Amino acid sequence: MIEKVSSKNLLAESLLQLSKAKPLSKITVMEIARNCSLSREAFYYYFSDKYQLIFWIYKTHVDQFVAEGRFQEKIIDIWANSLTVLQKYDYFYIQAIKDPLIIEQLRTFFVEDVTTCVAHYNQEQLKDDDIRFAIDFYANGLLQVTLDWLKNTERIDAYTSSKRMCAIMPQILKKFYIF
Amino acid sequence: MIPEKTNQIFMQALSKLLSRRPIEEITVQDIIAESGFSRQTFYRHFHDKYDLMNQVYSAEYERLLTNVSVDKWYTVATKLMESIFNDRAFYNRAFQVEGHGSMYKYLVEYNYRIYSQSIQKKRGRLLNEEERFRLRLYVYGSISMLKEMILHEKDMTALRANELYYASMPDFLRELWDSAAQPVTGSSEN
Repeated sequence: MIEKVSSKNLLAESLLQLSKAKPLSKITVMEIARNCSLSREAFYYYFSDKYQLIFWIYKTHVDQFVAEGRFQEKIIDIWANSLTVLQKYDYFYIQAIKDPLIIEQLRTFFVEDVTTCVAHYNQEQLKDDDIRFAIDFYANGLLQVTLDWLKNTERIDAYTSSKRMCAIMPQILKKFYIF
Repeated sequence: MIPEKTNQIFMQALSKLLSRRPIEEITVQDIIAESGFSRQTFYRHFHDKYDLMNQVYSAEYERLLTNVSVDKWYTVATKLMESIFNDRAFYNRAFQVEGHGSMYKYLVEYNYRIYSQSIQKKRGRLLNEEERFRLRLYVYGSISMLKEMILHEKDMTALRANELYYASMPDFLRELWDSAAQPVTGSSEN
């Protein structure tokens, strides 16, 4: 088990490092594996393709704040931390979000994330049309402002940005979060 | 001929063509042939076929805002939504365009522009950074939802959709929706 985790981490580190010098689209699985002294087979043991590794990196980066802290911490801090980690690896994410397939996957993650918060509060709430609409609406809005924020060369700080994201949360969703 | 009339004829021509095949398979030549105007006239009015397609939305919006100026913006927005829902087939084709000429991007930019201009006009001051951010998030969210409703053929009335939008918008936009509609000229570049 421990070995699996660390190999995944190695591959992630390897891709992050390579993406500093080369566009993501040009990096091959072979290069990712070789750069961390693993075989191509080892790569495919853990991930079905390069995209799966990219998504895993994103999930790992963001989930350390979101998944664990979600139900105990203030939402403003959770998002500020998530944005900070995206900022730390911005060279990687700025490239990643040029790919429409990656954006689509992020959209799914964002919707899932808001949905999880609602479901955790009460599964029944997901049957309410108004709430379902607000989830999709808000998740899509959050995704786009996050993308804009990442692309912006004069980025406002993560905490301020997070504060604004909270401020625009639809009223109907507020009871699902800790402020 | 007055420009609006010409635009309208081009839009009708495109709608007719689009009811038969997707935009990728329609050429400017087809549109010209269907409309009866010259190529020159087409390019005097539009950059390309996508520009024409996207302006169907803004032309309708601007027509409603001008013609029903006694109504609240909210009412106009509902009428606009009804008109989109009545023309689902057209918008379904249009929303499938990704990248250059994407209706999603056009609507985001267009709505952002007319809202910010109208709010500025109403209050006599520019939106501050915070408000611009909130407006942007709202516009992204609302246009994404519209796209989803059209592409996934969600069964929802225009009235209901606008209720949901209204509930999700920032207060300063709600003030605009509550006030009387004013004509805008969002499609022209200032």
